Amino acid sequence: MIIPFASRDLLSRHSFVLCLPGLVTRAHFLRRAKVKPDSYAGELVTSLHDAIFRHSLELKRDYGEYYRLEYETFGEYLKRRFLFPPEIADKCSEHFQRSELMIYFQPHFYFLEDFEYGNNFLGKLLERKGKQ
Amino acid sequence: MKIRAGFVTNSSSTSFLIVAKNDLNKADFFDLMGIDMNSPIADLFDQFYSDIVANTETQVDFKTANKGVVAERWFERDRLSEHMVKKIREAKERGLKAYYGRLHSESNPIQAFFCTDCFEVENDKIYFDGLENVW
Repeated sequence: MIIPFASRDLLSRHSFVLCLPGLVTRAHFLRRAKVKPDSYAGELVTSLHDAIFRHSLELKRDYGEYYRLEYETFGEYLKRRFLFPPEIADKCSEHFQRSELMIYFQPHFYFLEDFEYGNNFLGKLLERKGKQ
Repeated sequence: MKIRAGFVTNSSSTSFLIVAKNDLNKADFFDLMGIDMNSPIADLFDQFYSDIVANTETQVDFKTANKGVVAERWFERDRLSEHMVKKIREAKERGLKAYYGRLHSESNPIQAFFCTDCFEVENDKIYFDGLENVW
């Protein structure tokens, strides 16, 4: 499940919460994208994988390890710590138990800034279709 | 007094040069980029390819072009980097095809992304200079 929304930060950038059943390895990500690792497309997809799985905040872990005592609920943590819109925080809370990873992804890839295109693009690479 | 909170940005365009053995075509372009034509994200490179074709301003086939004309004279010389000039001269020597154009940042988001990326890729069929990134 991918939840797109406009961040309430200075840039009002388009962001995504990626609710995933688990880690998608870099090798699997490249295979899904059908790109050659040592190519321009391969580097682009690798960079996207790094941006998601290495450089973005995994919210469930962050909440569980550092903020559980400070914020009574996951929704409160999202609303007060990251200024998530209430409806987005509620939607994320619904997926808390069902998702292994909940990644707060603020892309620096301009082509992902379009909500519909970005959502669709990420869905093709992240949402599980069949066994990994 | 008014205070603007936010960013002031400007638009830009960046030059590209492609040197190819054959007429530029999508299959060779995808092969150069390293993506399968049946990839679920092929539309990203489909759009990139379409933008390249649509934004090609000068196209020279050095196999048939007048050999007496200095290679870079076919292009707007002041828009070419020294590296591009070198590649154009090589294209002339080898009788290849050269395509020069510009990508624009205030177009579609996909073109804007590739306009602001900086890369140089080559295989046995195509050379693509996307190094002219001034951002």
